[in-house]
Amino acid sequence: MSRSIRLTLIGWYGLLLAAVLVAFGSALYGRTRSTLLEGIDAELASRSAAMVGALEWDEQDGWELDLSDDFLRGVAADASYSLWTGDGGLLRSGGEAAPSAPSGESGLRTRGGLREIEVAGPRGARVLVARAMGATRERLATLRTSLFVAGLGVLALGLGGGWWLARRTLAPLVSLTATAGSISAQDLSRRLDERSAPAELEGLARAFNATLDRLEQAFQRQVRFTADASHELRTPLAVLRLQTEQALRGERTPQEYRATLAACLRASQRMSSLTESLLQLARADAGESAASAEPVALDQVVREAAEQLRPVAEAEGLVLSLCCEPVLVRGDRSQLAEVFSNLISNSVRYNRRGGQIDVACVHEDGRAVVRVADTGLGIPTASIPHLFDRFYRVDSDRSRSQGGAGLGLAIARRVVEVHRGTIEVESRAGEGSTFTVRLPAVPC
Amino acid sequence: MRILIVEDEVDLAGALERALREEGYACDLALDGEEGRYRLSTVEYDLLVLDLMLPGIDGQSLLRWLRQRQATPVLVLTARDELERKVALLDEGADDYLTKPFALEELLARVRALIRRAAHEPAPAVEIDGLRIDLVAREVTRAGRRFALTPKEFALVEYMLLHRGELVTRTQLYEHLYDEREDTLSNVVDVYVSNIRRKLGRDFVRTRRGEGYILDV
Repeated sequence: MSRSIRLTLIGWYGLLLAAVLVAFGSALYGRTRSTLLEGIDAELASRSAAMVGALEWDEQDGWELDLSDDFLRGVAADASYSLWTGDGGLLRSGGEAAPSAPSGESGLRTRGGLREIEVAGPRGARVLVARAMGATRERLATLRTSLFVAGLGVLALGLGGGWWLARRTLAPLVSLTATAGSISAQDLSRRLDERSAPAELEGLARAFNATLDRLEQAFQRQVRFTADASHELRTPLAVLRLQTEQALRGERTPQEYRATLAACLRASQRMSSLTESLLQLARADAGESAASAEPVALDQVVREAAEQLRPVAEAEGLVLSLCCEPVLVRGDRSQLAEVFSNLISNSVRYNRRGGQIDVACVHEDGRAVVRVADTGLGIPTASIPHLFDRFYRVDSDRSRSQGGAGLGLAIARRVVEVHRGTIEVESRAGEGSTFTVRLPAVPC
Repeated sequence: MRILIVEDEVDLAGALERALREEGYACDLALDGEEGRYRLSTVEYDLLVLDLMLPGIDGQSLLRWLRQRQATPVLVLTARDELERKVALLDEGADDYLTKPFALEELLARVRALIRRAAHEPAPAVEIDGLRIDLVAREVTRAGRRFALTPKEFALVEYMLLHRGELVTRTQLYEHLYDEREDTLSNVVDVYVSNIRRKLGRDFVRTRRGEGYILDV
């Protein structure tokens, strides 16, 4: 499974929260602990100082401690105290577990659960005041426990809140995902609601919708193309089927069989040429990358296409003139040849006896320009916008009887587009048409 | 029964025409919408077989034009099989449609059904005075014995049957049994009627002198 944004978010959030809590808890605990210890130390210092101050040596009376019994009892209640004379004899002591001998080192120290202070008195006397740490330790332990429990509680609350927040933040994303998921190939017309998406997701929604737009268009084109292709194949198939079924219904004369077979042959020829055109179109559609392949001498391609069609043109009583200057383009030679023989054969097909076809290939402003102009029938203005559409026929009667499926110009446009060029037509009904192909030229 | 085929695909139209003729139908052919409209306005057809993709006036326009004038049954031939197209076709007045490519058998069955329906004759076989007239097998039998009728003779029997109880004029019979290719005189109808009477019995159709024929129910 891939990383979940929500879990990542909550993980980091929890980690940060835990770090803050730990830092805060430790600081609080440390501060409390040192305050308590400092209080104890200060008390020990003041008591020991009081005892040292109260200790007197008198030649007459010896050692004297000028302190009230109440004070001493108070000291003994908390812990213990001991006073030693300079020669090490215990002068006085009180409280529990008072040590029997001084250590000789002055200062504060902790020893066996006791905090004690030893100070030097007059004439080598030693004073030691100790205090039990138990109560303080307990207080600190309680503090630790409550800090820990409170910290856990805050962390849990924080994680819960984080979960809710993450959910809330991600909710628009989830709903966008659900909508996007429900858009299937059958229902490409649906779109994400860009307006209700939060600002951060609006761009994503817009990009997604734009992709859907393109997808829907491509899909519709595909559906229409498939429908058109099958439609075009249905008529010759119907001819094949009806002709054979009709012929098989009874005994026929050889002439009748011959007529039936001829009709079937015509139908199958139509299907072959349609299939060939569809294949060319599919190849041109797929050939996006092949277009930048090899350098092609465009003038040669145009010349060959024109020379191939010259006998047909002359048989129709047409004059074909050719004017080519050398120009190089990059691309697929056979596909380009197909384009020009298509354009020229259209000019032959839709022309009148005695008409003219001018084919020119020139180098203009870094582009290779091929013009195929005729003095033929021309194209009605209303048809020009659809002229390069797949399966479009200017006049179904005219082209169907001559075997065209309405794919030639669609193939030409596709090939030219794949070669990063343009194809245009200018035409006047009754006066003729000029097709212009422009392709990026390669410096010779 | 006289049928008009409006179809621009010559090979398809030709085979269709031959097949319908062999079934005994009179059959005319129009290769574009213009011609189809002209024929429809001059002859009263029993059925129109209409292709949609036509040069000039397309099939759909022709159908709309026809529906404002006549109730002629229309069987549409279409290469499109999308649901919306079919629905639109039927809603514009087509009585039936066939998607190309189709089986000849199916086309003939639909033609028979449309002709029966237009004549308000739902039964595919009708019995009159012991004569059983089968519109599907296109034959006439009496007690299981089959009469040898030519397709044209059967066409006459069929026409009289579908118009039984009505007075049918000689011109009417001539117009519905013969197409423009058959160059005959209208008295050929009398010959056929007498042939049928000879085969099926004297009283099969009654003659109303000077008016025409009638098949009594």
